Amino acid sequence: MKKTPTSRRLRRNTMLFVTPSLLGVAVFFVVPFVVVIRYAVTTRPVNGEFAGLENFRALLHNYAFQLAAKNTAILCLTAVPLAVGLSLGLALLLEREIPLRSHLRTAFLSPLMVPVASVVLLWQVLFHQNGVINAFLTGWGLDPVDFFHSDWSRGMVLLLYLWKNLGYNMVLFTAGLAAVPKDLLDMAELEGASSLRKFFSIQLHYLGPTILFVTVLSFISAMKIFREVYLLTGAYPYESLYLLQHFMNNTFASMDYQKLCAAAILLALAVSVIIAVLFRVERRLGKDVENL
Amino acid sequence: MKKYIAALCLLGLFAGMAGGCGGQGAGTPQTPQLAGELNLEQAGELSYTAQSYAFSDGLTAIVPQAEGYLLFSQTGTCRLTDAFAQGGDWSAQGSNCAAAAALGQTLYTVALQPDGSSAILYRDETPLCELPAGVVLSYCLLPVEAGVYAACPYRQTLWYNGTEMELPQEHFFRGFWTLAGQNWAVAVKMEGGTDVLAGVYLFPLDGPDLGEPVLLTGWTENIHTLSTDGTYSYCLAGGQLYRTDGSSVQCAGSLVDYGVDPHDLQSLLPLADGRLLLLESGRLTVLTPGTGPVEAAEVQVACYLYAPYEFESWAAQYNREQDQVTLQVTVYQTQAELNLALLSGEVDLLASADPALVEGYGARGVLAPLDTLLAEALAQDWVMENVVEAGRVDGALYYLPTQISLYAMRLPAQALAPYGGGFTDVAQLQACLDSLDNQSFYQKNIKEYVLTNLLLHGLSAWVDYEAGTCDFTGESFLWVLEHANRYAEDTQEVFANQDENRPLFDPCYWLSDLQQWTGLRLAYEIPGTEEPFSAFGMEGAFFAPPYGGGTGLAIGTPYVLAIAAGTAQEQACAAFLRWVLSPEQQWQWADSQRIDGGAGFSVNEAVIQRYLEEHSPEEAEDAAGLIALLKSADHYGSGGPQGGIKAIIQEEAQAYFAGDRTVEECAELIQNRASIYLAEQG
Repeated sequence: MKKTPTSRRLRRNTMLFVTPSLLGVAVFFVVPFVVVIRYAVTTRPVNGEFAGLENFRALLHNYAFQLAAKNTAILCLTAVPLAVGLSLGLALLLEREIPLRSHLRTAFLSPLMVPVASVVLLWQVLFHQNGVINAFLTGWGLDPVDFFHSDWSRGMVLLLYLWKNLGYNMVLFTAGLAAVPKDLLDMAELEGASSLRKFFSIQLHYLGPTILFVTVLSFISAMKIFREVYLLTGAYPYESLYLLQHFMNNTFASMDYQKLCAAAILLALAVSVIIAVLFRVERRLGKDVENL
Repeated sequence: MKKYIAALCLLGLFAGMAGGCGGQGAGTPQTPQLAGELNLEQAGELSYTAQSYAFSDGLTAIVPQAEGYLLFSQTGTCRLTDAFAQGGDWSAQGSNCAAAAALGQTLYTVALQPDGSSAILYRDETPLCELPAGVVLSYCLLPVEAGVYAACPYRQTLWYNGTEMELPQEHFFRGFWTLAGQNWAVAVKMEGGTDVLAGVYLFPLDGPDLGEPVLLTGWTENIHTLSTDGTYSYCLAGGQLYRTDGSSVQCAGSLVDYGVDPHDLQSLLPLADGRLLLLESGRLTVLTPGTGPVEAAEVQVACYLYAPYEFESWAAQYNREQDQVTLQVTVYQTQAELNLALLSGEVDLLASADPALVEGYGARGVLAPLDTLLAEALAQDWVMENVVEAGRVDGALYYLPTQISLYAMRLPAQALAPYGGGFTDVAQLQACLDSLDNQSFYQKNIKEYVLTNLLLHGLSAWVDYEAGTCDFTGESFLWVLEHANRYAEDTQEVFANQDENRPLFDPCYWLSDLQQWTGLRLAYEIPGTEEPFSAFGMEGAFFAPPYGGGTGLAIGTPYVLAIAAGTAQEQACAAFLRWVLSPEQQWQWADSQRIDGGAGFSVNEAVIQRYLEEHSPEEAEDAAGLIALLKSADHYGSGGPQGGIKAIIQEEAQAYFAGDRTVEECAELIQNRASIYLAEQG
């Protein structure tokens, strides 16, 4: 096809507007990632020699990395489905005509407004060995639980994660539910469909993009829970709380950039695969919606 | 009904969520009513050229006069010409002078009483009032038209013409400033009796009254050695010199860069022409505004958290004596900052109080091996071989100390004798401790302090750094925790059980000078009686902890030096290391009595030998034992501000000491967390 002056101008203008963004991405993402790749295949940060995949091999055999990857996977596999499921349930519940509905919506969002330092303080007060919960437990004749230094720690962090994130997810689902065509639901009602049938056959299909979005957000939030865990338990927590970000943070501090960069590349690959799978699922759900 | 049940459930959940909002109600500590805040803008950097003049020891103050200067020492005064040349002999006038200041023709001086219990403030020859002795024997004076303000740094009382003025609680005086025509008493507030700075406050001075203070915002460093010329005010913070006019602040860099030892600084006098006179005990340095020593090659020295005291002394001396190279000291407050500085080539030389930190850098390849750079010095045994070997990482030498001390346990020699002078396991040591006729050592320290001391011997018994494994669940580590747990809960208990006798068992005796070694003979004497207070006699003996994993005593050091890999100043750095380790400098350092001042021993065996021969010939037999002991040390202790496993142990032990965990549970947790740490390092 022959290029007209108009299309050339359009192309030039497009490039003009896109270039700053491309430059930003290149400078702040692409170039650093290339540096990360370089560090990952060299023996040391200064005067390093090419090491091939040796750093990756060493990383995969490293107990700390294995532990961190396992804990992060467990956290994501439990926290993300729970966050998506529970927030969807809450959204459906609050869609109904119940008293104080708007107040409750606001209340569920309130944890988002609490500063991290306060959250950490609250959790310490609640879950410390001499904290409120253990005071109740011992008052009822039960043994106190060392929440920060036992396998209960996972549950504690999961609770913290859900407390922080349910409200926001719920609001997103509420918006998603509002976008479901009312006439379809009314028609289903007229034809005698049960609430469950309406949910699975209509609402869930229309919520596909929202579910994907909430899942991605929940996944990101699950990765960010490190901040609270770090403030609660420090750089070297009990083993069930040791996450990938601990590993990366600590290797950064100790200047072990080879391990850090190899871990960063593996994590980037894993996240890319997860996001790709989620998009594939969303596309399938989207097709279903188009067929409705 | 279902709706109401659902609403109630949600309300319950809401209540739980809303609970998080109540976490920010902590009360604020009591502070005086603030008159306002002062934010000093950073306004670039200042630069001076330095010229120093040597004088006799004990300089305390200098005062400008119509012609020249009046220089005060602890024993007399002398006049200096405008060129800072001595214009006459020292006279005894103004002896014991602790501070001096002049306003016009009026001279104010503070003279210490001979017994040091107090000082007299004079206006010319007339006594004005008596001042109590300060925490440090220095005073600040600010002459004004109607009189003079006087105060001791680190105290809470100020005097105006003899009238007392009290600073609020937890506020400690630091010095006087004059900003925009207003005189201020500058004080720091320390958080709850700790050494954590809560803020810097400026109290306006108005006759005998202290006004409401102004908070100096954005200032996080503790400040000291304040001075003012009426236009500009000066202070030191973190070894750096600052100048302010009340609206902005300029940094003139580290005093070390100008060849001035900040730890020996006695006074700072700004002159009207912008020059600064800095007095060390034996030196007057004149800083003249200018472009700085640009001709000399600059070696950037990095320190982590703080610049070690002893290193700053060496560096200041080096900067004074060498024209070719200037050492510039920068302190990095986070390890991430230090890492980046090392990687970016910003740092040439590293001076760290923590050998473990430097070892880590060595293992990462960011330090230059010293074996070749200092081959000649090492071949000539400038550093004892055991000290060199103790610092090797994978066979390579990345760092060296310039002076060392030893960490050892101490007991009465007679109690130790049945065990052949040492113990093979902790059970033997405990049996020996139980047999002592005085168990008061358990009341002489608190648990946390003892644990820290026990860890100073090093962690090599429980940690195999090369293999990346650890075992904190064994008998010896449990003993360490249990032993520490036998000590006092808090300092009140310690004070309640004080007696004047030394403890029969010292879990970590820091052997850093000759007198501590020769004093072993009378280690357990009832003070002043030449009688023992124990059935085991007066003589003490040092020994290595039985959990040393077959190792000897641990080496302690105020700092170690390392050279960054790939630095452009590698030869200049090596030259500094050769200078500081040279027998001449080591001898000069030892001969200036520092070897007896608690700063440690020279790393050079010949220097120690010579020092002992010249200064303690009557104790030649003891000297041989001391050198043998120094040469028996074979690993570095875990001194310095290092984190890692030591921090994990100290943190987890708190719950054990508080009775929240058993010793086994505590050890398991330490094992759990330390394993992760080691795996990460592997």
